[in-house]
Amino acid sequence: MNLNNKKIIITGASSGIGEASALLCAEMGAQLLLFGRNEDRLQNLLKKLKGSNHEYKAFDLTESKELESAIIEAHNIMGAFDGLIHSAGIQKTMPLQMTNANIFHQQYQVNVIAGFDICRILQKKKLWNQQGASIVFIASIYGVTGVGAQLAYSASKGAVISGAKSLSIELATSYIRVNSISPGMVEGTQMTEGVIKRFSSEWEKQSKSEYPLGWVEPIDVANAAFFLLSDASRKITGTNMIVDGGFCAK
Amino acid sequence: MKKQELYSLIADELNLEDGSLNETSVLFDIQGWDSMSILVIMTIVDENFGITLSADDFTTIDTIKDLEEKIGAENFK
Ligand SMILES: NC(=O)c1ccc[n+]([C@@H]2O[C@H](COP(=O)([O-])OP(=O)(O)OC[C@H]3O[C@@H](n4cnc5c(N)ncnc54)[C@H](OP(=O)(O)O)[C@@H]3O)[C@@H](O)[C@H]2O)c1
Repeated sequence: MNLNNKKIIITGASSGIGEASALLCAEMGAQLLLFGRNEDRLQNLLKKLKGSNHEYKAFDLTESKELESAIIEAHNIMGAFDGLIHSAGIQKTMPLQMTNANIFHQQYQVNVIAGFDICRILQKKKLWNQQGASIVFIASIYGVTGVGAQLAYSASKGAVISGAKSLSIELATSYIRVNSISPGMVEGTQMTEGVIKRFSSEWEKQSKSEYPLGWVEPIDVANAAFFLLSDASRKITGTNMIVDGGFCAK
Repeated sequence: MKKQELYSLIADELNLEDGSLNETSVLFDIQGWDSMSILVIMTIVDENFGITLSADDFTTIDTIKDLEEKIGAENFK
C-alpha cells in the first residue's frame, strides 16, 4: 500500500489527527495541500514532512471565498487532486438549554459545511483526478452513539456520516469514493486537551476505563485514512469506519 | 461585565427569579442545582470572559463570590 504520486488535501493539518495524517501520507509518497489556521504549526509540519512540493495555506475554513481561491491556486501548481481528508473540526460541551442556533451554526460550519464545500468546489471546477479519487471525512463515534451535553457536535458528526453516504452514491459515476472515519476519544490532541480541562481528572480515568483497547492515538486514525485513500480500498465507499478501541462494541 | 449582570445571566440560565442571586449565594444550594448546572456556569464564564473553568475548579467554588474570585476582579467593570 502506498500513496505514490497522489495529491491529497488535508484540512485541520495544523494539529492532532490532521497532522498525524499529513506525516503518514507524506511518508507513503503523497504530495499534500495542507489547510489550517495556525501558520506557525503548518510551517513546522512542512519541515517534518517527507518529500518536497507540499503546499499549505493558513486561513479560516469558514471564509468560503478564500477556500475557493486557495484550492484553485494550489491546483494550478500541483495539478488534479486524488484525495481529501477533512479533519478540521470544533467541539463545544454545553447543556441543551444553552445550545442555541448560533452554537449549531458554528460547529456545522467547520465540521460539516466546510468539508462538503471543498468537495463541491473540486467537483464543479473539475479539479479531481478524472481517473478517480477518495474522500475521507473525520466524523466521530458521537455521530453514531449518544452523549450528554454535546448535542450540536454529535448532530454535526451524524450529518457528516450520512452526507458522506449520499455523496458516495452521487460521485460513484466519477470514480470518487467517499467514506467517513469515526474515532473514539483520541489521546493528546488540542480538542481532547480541551475536553479534559472541562471535565475532572477523574472523568479522564473513568472514560479511559470504558475503552477495551484504551483511547485511540492520532496515528490509529491516520492509518485508517491512509487505507481509505489508497487503492487497497478501491471497492470501499459509503462506509463509516469506527476506530474506537472497542468502545462501541459494548 | 458588571457583577450584577453576571448574577442576572446565571439566574436567567438556571431559570431563577432575577435578583435572587448575590455574592453569598451557595451554588450547590440553588434550587434545581444538578450536574448540568455546573456546565451552565462554565459555559457562561467561557462565553463572556473567555476563561475555561474545569469541573475540578468547582471543588473550591462554593459561592458566587468564589466564582467571581476565580474569574478575577480585573475582568469585572
Ligand atoms: N479528539 C478526539 O477525541 C476526537 C474524537 C473523534 C473525532 N474527532 C474529530 O477529529 C477531527 C480532528 O480533531 P483533533 O482531535 O485532531 O483536534 P485538534 O487537535 O483540535 O485539531 C482540529 C483542527 O481543525 C482546525 N480548525 C478548526 N477550526 C477551523 C477553522 N475554522 N478553519 C480552519 N481550520 C480549523 C484546527 O486548526 P488550528 O489549530 O490551526 O486553528 C486544527 O488543525 C475533528 O473533526 C474532530 O471532531 C476528534
